[in-house]
Amino acid sequence: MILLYHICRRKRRVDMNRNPKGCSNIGGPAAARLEYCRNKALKIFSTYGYRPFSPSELQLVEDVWDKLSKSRARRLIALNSPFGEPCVLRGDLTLSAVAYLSSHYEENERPLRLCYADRVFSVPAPPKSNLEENQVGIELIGWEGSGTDAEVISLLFRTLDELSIEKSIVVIGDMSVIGRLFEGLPEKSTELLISALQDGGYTTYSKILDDTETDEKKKKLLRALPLLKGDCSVIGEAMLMMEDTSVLMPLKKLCDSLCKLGYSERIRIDLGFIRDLGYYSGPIFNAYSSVTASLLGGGGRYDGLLAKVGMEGEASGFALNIKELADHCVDGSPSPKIMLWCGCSDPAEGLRYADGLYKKGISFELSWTADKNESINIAGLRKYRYWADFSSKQVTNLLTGQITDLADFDREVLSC
Amino acid sequence: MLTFALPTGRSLEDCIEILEGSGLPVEKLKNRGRNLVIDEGSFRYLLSKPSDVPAMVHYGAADLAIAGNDVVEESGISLVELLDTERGKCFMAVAGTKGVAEKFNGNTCSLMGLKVATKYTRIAENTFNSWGVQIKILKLNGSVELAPALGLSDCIFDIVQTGSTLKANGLMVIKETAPVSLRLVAGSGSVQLRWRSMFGVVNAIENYVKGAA
Repeated sequence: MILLYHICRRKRRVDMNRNPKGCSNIGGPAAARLEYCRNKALKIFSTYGYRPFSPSELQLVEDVWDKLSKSRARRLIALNSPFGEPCVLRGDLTLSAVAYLSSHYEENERPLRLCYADRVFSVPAPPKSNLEENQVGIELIGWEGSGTDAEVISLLFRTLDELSIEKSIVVIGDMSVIGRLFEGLPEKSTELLISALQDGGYTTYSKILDDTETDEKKKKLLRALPLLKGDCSVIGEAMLMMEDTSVLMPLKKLCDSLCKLGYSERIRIDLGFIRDLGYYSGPIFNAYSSVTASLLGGGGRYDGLLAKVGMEGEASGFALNIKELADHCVDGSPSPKIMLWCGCSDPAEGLRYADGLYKKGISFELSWTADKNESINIAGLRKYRYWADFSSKQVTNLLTGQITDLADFDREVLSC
Repeated sequence: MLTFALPTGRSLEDCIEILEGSGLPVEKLKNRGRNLVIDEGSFRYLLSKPSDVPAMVHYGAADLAIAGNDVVEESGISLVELLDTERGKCFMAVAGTKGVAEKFNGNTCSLMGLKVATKYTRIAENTFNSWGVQIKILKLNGSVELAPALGLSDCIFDIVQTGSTLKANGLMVIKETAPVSLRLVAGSGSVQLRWRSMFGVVNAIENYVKGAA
């Protein structure tokens, strides 16, 4: 009978491990790191006046379809709600934030600063296979003056620094530069040139440019511009190639502000960086870990999207992939240090001591098993540093084996 | 150090010729034996199965790579295509018997449900979709030309260099769909972060291939 019970139990556990393809459960230290990054980022955002926003996971197809580019819309996961409404799983948090602002706030209440930590869903682009992604980010919507982009990018740097991802780099481009330079070209050519840059097809871009009717001087500039990538001096190089440099001034001012804040070594400029024209409309950026060259997240100015919901003004924001942050975060989550064994003690006494630890900000786990050895083993498995026997009032350092009185431990270790 | 991913097989000699012509060190690469990772000067060469080259670049194992645009497109991985080397030229095509070729001259309705054997399933599907034609795909990993003769498919979708293999198997090119050649590619992250260290090499390769063309 007991054997049958164990077989059934084991089988049930196997069944529960199966997730839909593209989805995953995250537990153990990885989940703790995710939580740490999420909480830390949200704390920074709220300190800077960003208010939390929790959008619905389902969005009506009619609300999102015409706001996104075809390639992004195609990656949305569509479904019918149980009430028969055609919906998509939320593929974009910015869209939700903008829709919320446009319908819930009057003009005089702007600008609005929103932050979120939530999941987004999309059909994965190869070679990825995940349908869902945890994101944390901010949106600064409806500010009419300068400072928006500098605030958003400096907050991005601040977040990465606070998460100890110090070797991070932010690559900045400006959609308005390319947009302005394409002015006067045939509409069809402009469309193809943008699409080629967006797809990273520099060969295609060059071929289309060869076939485009425009003067040779402009062609030369358009050919050179996407290849201007590097530190802030790139803007100066671009200025030397242009007659009217005013189009580069906003980007220059933004870089100057960020350099004054001490980020000059961590900024890269990419004048061929382009993303979803019509949605993004000014500076855009990607954040990378310079150690692994992994993309941590990105963002940019999306006045174009704002205009699509009938609002004037500027909007900027970023989203970071929490899993990438957790993978690159050096500190990680402060896991509990102490296993507090109360198996042979009065529960109330144990809980009172636990309250004291909580007030000191010390993480712990209570162990109620009557078996002392089992409790020690679990503490070892979970890599706790200390195991405290509340009945004998003694604490064992699990790394060194040294035993200390609980009172001395309180005084010498916990007070540090 | 810049890392190049290079495809093993018949394209490798073309790749070595391009690199050597561009002034990159290739002596060890020429005498590689069974080594798959070759460090030479300030370069590292990773030799990989052609279909794995895009992933090598995407995951950051290599900064640059030379790969056929057929392989990159089939992988579905988004890479930055920096240069067409004009080497390894061939084309992507639908091929079949005369009987099937006649169907392609008529209304696209006659092509609906066509059985197509290919190792390029993604490109085949996209190509026929762009014509508004739904097809049944038979995925084969090699000797695709056999499929029509064995009655497994109506036609094939493959790369064609000289057409002699097609001819030997009683097939003909029905429709050329895209040119194929070796391309210099990079990951978007590498391009954004390491462009300054890549630029000289990309420029040298461009000058060589344009000069030699």
